[in-house]
Amino acid sequence: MQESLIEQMADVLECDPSEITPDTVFRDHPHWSSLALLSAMAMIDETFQVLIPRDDFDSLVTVGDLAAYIEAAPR
Amino acid sequence: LRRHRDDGGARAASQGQGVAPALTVNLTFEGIRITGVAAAVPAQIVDNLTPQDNFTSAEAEKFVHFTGIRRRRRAPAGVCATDLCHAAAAELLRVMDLDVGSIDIIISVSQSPDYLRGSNSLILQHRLGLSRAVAVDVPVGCSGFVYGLFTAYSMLNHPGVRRVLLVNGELLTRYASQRDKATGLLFGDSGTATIIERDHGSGRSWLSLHSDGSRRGVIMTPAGGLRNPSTEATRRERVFEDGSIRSDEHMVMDGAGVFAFILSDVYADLRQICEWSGVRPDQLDYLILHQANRFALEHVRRKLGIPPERVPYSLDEFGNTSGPSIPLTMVTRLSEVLRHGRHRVLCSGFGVGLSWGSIIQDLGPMTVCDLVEV
Repeated sequence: MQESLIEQMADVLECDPSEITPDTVFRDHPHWSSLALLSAMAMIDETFQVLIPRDDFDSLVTVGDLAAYIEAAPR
Repeated sequence: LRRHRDDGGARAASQGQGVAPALTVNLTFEGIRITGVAAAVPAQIVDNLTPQDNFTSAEAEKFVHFTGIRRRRRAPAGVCATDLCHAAAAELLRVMDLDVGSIDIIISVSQSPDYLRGSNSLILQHRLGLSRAVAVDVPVGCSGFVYGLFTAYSMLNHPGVRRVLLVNGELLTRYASQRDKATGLLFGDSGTATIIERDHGSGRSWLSLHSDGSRRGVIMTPAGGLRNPSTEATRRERVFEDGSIRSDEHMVMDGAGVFAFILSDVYADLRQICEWSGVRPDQLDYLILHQANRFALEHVRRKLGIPPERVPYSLDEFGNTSGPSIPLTMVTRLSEVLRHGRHRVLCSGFGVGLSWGSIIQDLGPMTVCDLVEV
């Protein structure tokens, strides 16, 4: 799942997947923006059937945090 | 008297969800249908890809790619929402050849009033010569067309009411700062008119409504009303963290909050009304969504499994026009279809409030006027 998330986050951040690791702080990426936030929310909903509420999203820092949240979310 | 402290729903808005699940009101109606629709827009076209104040060309391109909104219509100074509604309604009455005395009720749905006191419905009642009609205002925003239909259908349930004129006009380009990153390139102006009447040959309509005031902070204008009156300070424009420039009297929109609302509540409402009515998404001829932004709407469309040709868009040419966006889409994208034959259509309106609702009904054959430019 983490591999797939990394590939999709690279898509959102318009970069090569090799640039993304579980420790990547996505908000620090130069291509992070308010539109990237919406793209990430939509991508996670579509790919993993998990809609992360806005407040929860704000508390997640790294790509690994996103993966852990998705793993733990009820489907 | 104690002063009411209002955080504008900011806390609930930041949580992206209400304090409690919103109640659903489900209603059915028989023997009532839409028989005609018209829309008017200002002639002035704004192309989002021409240089815009406070947007780099890269920002504008990204915005257009994401929202699907390339062009918008902007009303010039002096033109009000009732002017656009008047143009649409006059054309509709003319084309349908309706006697003004046959209109029992005029309902104006708008959050763009001509005057702070003196309502849009009465202004239009007078201008259209509807001297027999009772005038009613419904101040609802992006969900306004569905709430307007709810009001019209409810009134038409009474035997003394036979024909209702619903007008829906908004000038959101006036309320949003054109230099706000979230709303500056988003909105267009429009006014629409719809005739709804009793017709025993028409079938059943299913309607769902939801309201959640705890999330009013997701989209609102913080100052300029009586709670936070207009002062020099509220009129002063400031630069925000994202580079937006606006005052407290401009509309503020939490884009991520709206997005989460569409993906969760609006999607759930669409599923719910299909289950309740027994009409499966694949049995719908068309799904007409409030033209919020293409990225969010496409996401909802894919989740529902509805093919793209059944979900028309007008936002590419007209922007997000708030409540009028559903009838504007009928006029500009489905006119030939609706003039001939009968089609099962799901319309869904959602936005400021937060307020949302849907209606499944059979549309057509009906009068659809050509777009009016003012």
